[in-house]
Amino acid sequence: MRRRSSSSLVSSIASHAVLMLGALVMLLPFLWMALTSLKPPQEIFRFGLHILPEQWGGAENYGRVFSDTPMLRFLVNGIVVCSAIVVLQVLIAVPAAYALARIPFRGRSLFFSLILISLLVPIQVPSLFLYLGFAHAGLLDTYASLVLPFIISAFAIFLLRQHFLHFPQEVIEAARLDNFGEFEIAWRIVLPSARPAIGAFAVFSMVAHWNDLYWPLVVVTDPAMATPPLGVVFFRNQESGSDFGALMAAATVISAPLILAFLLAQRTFVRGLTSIR
Amino acid sequence: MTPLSAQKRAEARVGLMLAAPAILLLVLLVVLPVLATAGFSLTDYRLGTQAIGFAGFDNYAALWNDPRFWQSVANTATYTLIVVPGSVGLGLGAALLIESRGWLKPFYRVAYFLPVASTFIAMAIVWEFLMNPSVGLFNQILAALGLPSVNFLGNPQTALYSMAAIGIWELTGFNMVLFMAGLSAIPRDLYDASAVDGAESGWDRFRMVTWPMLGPTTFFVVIITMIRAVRVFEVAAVITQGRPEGATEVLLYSIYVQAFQYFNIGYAAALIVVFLAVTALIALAQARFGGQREANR
Amino acid sequence: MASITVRDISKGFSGQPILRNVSLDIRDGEFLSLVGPSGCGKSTLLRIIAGLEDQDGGAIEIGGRSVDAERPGRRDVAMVFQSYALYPHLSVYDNMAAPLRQRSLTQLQRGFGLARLLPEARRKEAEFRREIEATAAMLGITALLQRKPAQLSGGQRQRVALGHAIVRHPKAFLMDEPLSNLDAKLRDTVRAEISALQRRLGATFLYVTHDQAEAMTMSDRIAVIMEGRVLQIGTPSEVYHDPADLRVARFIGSPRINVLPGEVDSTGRPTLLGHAVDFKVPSSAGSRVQVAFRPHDALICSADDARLTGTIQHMENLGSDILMHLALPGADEPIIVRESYETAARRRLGDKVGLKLDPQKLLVFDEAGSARLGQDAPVKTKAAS
Ligand SMILES: Nc1ncnc2c1ncn2[C@@H]1O[C@H](COP(=O)(O)OP(=O)(O)OP(=O)(O)O)[C@@H](O)[C@H]1O
Ligand SMILES: [Mg+2]
Repeated sequence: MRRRSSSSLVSSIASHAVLMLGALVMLLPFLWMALTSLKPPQEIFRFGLHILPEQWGGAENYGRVFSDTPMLRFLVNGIVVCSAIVVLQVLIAVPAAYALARIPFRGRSLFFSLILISLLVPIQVPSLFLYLGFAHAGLLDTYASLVLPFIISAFAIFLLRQHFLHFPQEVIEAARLDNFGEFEIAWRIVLPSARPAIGAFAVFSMVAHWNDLYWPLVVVTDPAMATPPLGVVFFRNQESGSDFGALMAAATVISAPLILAFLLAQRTFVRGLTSIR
Repeated sequence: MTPLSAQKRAEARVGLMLAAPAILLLVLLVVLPVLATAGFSLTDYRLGTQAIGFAGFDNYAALWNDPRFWQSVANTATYTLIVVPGSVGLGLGAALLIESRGWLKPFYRVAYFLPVASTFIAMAIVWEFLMNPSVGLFNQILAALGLPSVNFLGNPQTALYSMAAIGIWELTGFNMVLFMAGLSAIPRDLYDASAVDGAESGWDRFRMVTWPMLGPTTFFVVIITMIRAVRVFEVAAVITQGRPEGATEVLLYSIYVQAFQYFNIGYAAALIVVFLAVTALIALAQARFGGQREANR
Repeated sequence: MASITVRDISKGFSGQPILRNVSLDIRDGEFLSLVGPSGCGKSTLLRIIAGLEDQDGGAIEIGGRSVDAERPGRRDVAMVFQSYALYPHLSVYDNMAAPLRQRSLTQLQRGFGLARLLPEARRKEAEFRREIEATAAMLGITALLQRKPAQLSGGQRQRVALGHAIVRHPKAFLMDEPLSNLDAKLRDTVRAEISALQRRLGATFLYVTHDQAEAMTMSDRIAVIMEGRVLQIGTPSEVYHDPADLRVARFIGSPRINVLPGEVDSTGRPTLLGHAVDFKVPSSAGSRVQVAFRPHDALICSADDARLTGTIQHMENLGSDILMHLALPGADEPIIVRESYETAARRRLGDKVGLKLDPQKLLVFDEAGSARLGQDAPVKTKAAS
């Protein structure tokens, strides 16, 4: 399979060139966002191509983000909402998935069909009814309205069911012979084996809900209850798209947590985000 | 007779108990809302009015006769038809190129995957700035090259394509990672076997081994990308608001406007039903043909 | 240690009978192998004894006590599974500690890590540690105690599975093809280890295997199961030299036994393929019989010296010996004869040769093959194999 070295050198340089160009395009928005967030307004509006900031505008831009918006509040809201969603999703999905995979009960196959159908239903479909319900209950602009629609995750139940289903039966029988009770088997033998799957799902769900704009846009109008994506939208509309330095600083602040987490735990992230397979 | 059979009955009770919260929530948060929405679509319900009247298929008839609806459908379709081949093709290309480059492979992976792991709306706002007709980087470059400026997101001729470009940027890395997983699952032996069978060039190897072996992955990636593309929303909702001249009006945005700005509940419900039908059709295509392809391997 | 009594066990899956009135008596300290074709219900029987499966009828006693109402965990038997069945998330040490902790710690002590620090639990943990370390040393896995099962080779996992079973001194060991995932060389080593272990522990072993060599070399007795019934229980040489049933004779022994159909003539002698042989069988004239003999119990001679003749169809070289496949006119399958290398070297494919049988070594069955017929000169059953 070894090819002659001269042609392989040429093809190697060519593919690195293509890949580098691609990488530049992929990274361009991030670079431009970060660079612009450090530039003072006169530099941003000056005509002509300038890449690196010549004067330091970072302090002012980031200062405006934190003074003009409750940015910390957005971040805290994001953390509270996402953590609540993920924790509740897992707490509800684990027992259900275990039952689906390992305990025959009446209505099990109907329940599973329901899960499969729910996998096809994006949040936009029930959103209308849920909005009316939350509005009626006076729960708009609350954490409850941001969290509740997502605490049942058909995807989590499906994923974990597959995992529990493929747990080797013989290990469970070995545990019975070792005098483990049925509850202990579930809790101490099968569940620990699902930790990586639960971790992957948690990453997936955390990212999805941190980034979600649709539902917060529907139920939140009070900036104090905004999640980071909605917060940056509020900020953009308030600046009416003129203070680009501060806008880019805001974008940097709200995308930084995920980007840092991704860079620190790439493997976990990639596995989690592609766990839909 | 023996303890196991008595135990089985007790077990079944435990099973139902474990599943009960999930079943209850599924009914409350998915089944009921979906059925209710289908019901709303047959009424003339608007928020604020007192009486709700049965309207039969009036809402669907109104949809059928609404040019904005058709524009929204056409835009969503066009967007999907650009983003799917674009991001799947680029994702596959990137995966193939990166797979064969040991050195720098981790860097490329991170660079291409970064858009997937970032907060999309923030990046959409950055794209808006990049595409700004006066101070945006792209127009600065065009000006430096002596070319006329382009109002990417503001011109009806270019707005949808600019939005699609952002979509391709967003999804390529994700597809690349899926393809890389698919590539790594191809047994090395097959390449040796194809070499014995006379596959000389990289293209031969791609044609004889890689492409056929990637078939199921590709199918899956196309479906996933379609489902995501049909759900395009953020840029239209925040940046362009469907403008200019409805050039970026897409299905989800129409739903959002009808439901939560005009509170045209009945009409929005009909739109939602149409949207659900579209996504379900795509997913069913996967269930139908995806399963078959797996079985054919 | 304890004896195991299996009485009239029957079991079916969805109406399909798998075990039909199976009875076995496994003595205290005995090594009994279960052999039989795939799907005959060996694993099912083991699982019923362990309590992992309910029988439809019959009873199981362990140590003279009925265990039918006992949960698997209370029957005090250890099982070694074909797939090893180690706990994937626990280290080797914790895998071996699990049965000990599950048996002698209270729910509280094993449920909460902190409770393990209480003096009572700590005393027990120290006891477990001694036990585990002694067992690990015996099996040569001391260096692996901190690893996870995924970090072990097949042979190492095998030993850990054995250690997991041994460490708690169960009343009996049930092993379901424990060596089938090992390569031939490792299998020989571990086979010897298990034999040595059994002698040292003096433990009761019920051992399922597909490998006849394994069953022959390790067992005190072998039980042959087919179609849900125990066809024969006996020492390895009994089932080999003195099979009670033609199916047992066919199943045990490699290369396979030869079988020729015959008809008893008016003198009480059977006719094989139309040729009378010179011994009698206790069967009425005109009845049909099946005559079987092992490949090393026949001789090839020149075609003129024998009544049975055939042509050499195939020669299978085993190194020291050659297996000659003879096509006999009228026989359904070729007759296999074992010859020494030197003798066989003279022969060529297609040669017409004669076949001489040793009347002393012939095994005669009735037409159905389910009963042995005695002979003039009874076969010596205790002959060395
Ligand atoms: N849980 C079950 N449900 C239905 N049929 C089963 C079940 N377990 C075993 N069987 C059937 O019972 C028969 C005996 O199975 P068993 O596993 O005991 O065979 P075995 O003798 O151990 O075979 P092998 O040597 O291949 O391991 C098989 O035909 C099998 O298909
Ligand atoms: Mg078996």
